[in-house]
Amino acid sequence: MIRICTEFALSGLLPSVLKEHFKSICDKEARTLTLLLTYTHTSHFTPFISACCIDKLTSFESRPDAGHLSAAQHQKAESHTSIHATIKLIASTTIAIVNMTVFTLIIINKAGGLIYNRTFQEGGLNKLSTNDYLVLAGTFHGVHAITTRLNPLKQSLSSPPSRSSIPPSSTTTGATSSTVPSRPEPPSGLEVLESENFRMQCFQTMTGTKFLLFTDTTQANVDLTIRRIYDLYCDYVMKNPFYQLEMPVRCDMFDRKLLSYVREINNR
Amino acid sequence: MSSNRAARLGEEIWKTRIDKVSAELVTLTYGTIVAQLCKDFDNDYIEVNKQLDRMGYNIGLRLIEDFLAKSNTMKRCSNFRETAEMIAKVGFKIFLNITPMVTNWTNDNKQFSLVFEENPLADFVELPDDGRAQDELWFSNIFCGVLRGALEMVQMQVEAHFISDILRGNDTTEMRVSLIRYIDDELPPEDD
Repeated sequence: MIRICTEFALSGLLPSVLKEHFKSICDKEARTLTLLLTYTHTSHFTPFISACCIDKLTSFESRPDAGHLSAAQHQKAESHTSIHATIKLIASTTIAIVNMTVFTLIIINKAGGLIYNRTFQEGGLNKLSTNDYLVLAGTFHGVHAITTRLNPLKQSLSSPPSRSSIPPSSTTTGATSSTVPSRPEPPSGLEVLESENFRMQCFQTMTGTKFLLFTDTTQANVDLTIRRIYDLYCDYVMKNPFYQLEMPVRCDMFDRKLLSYVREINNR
Repeated sequence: MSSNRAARLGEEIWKTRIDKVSAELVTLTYGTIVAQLCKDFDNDYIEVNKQLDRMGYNIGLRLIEDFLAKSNTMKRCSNFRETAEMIAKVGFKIFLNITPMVTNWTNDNKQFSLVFEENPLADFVELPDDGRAQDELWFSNIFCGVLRGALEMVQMQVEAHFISDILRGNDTTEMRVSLIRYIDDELPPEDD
């Protein structure tokens, strides 16, 4: 068991500090297990570790020297079985919550109005009232607009040359690409917001629509997920001839496609 | 984005990300719409042009999202010349599999022409022989509206109109597109 736990620890799933810790204590079986239990509560790597725990503990029980562990644990007034049960419990609950989850999608139109919100994972985040979602959308829109202006350096570097290039272009007769009035890239605003429990990523389309995706903090490839959701939005919202632009999205087909797409991710 | 890169991008999207339908379906559907409009407005071709432009505008407002999603555009065009290349080599390519020629730029780089060597909307079409349609109807006027609507959504106000059409007996089919202004809704910098 120790060997396998250590392998896990060294395989890059755990932060390097923990790796060191593991190395130093891996000669004491019982403590390793307790330690694992502690980490199960605190680390992001819960699913891996708890799954590993269950596996190894089960195989460990069948080994002849299993008594060694039990004895050590008895000293701490904890029975082997209760540890086993605890690990199982923690493992099952944490896997359900932490296993790469997309919680909520919010779509904000270019005027800052909430046009869509959907929660995918019950129990992932607390539910807000519709009013709160509206406020969240409006507030985020405002904050996003202000953060785009927090970019004085880029602005001051790129604007003056482009301004000065316009007058000559209108006077010169030979139109060459060097006199094309350029349009500097707009500064981007707030893109990611993170808390202890969730990560919110904002994707603003070129037309000004914003997609906010609330996910678990360990969720990978959120960029791709949002792009895919944008594809679905293009197909099932924008191409629905009876959808009125800028108005709340009430498209069944979009709901269904979105749900099945997100379910696929959440069950991965 | 250079002209070549735009062409390659258009080609690649067309090959990999586009569902195709029969070109004749498009031609017949569009032809029916125009014919019906002519009937509905008693051959008032000026009005038909307007209606086509308006329909195109409404398409453009929606189509732009699809264009952005499919072309995976993350940066906006840095000037109007680049915009023209994107329209011709990516936009027309992925939606109609044609690549009109971008030409006849004005000196201030705010006006260009799209010359259509082929036009799927106009296959099989002969304009009515009533002496007016040849002078008044712009059969493919829906394109003008699409461009106007789509560009408006990405903060560009443009004006687009046809100046010649093979259907009318001209040598080419040519559309003129002019940039009126960039719609930047940000507040002007405050002066202290």
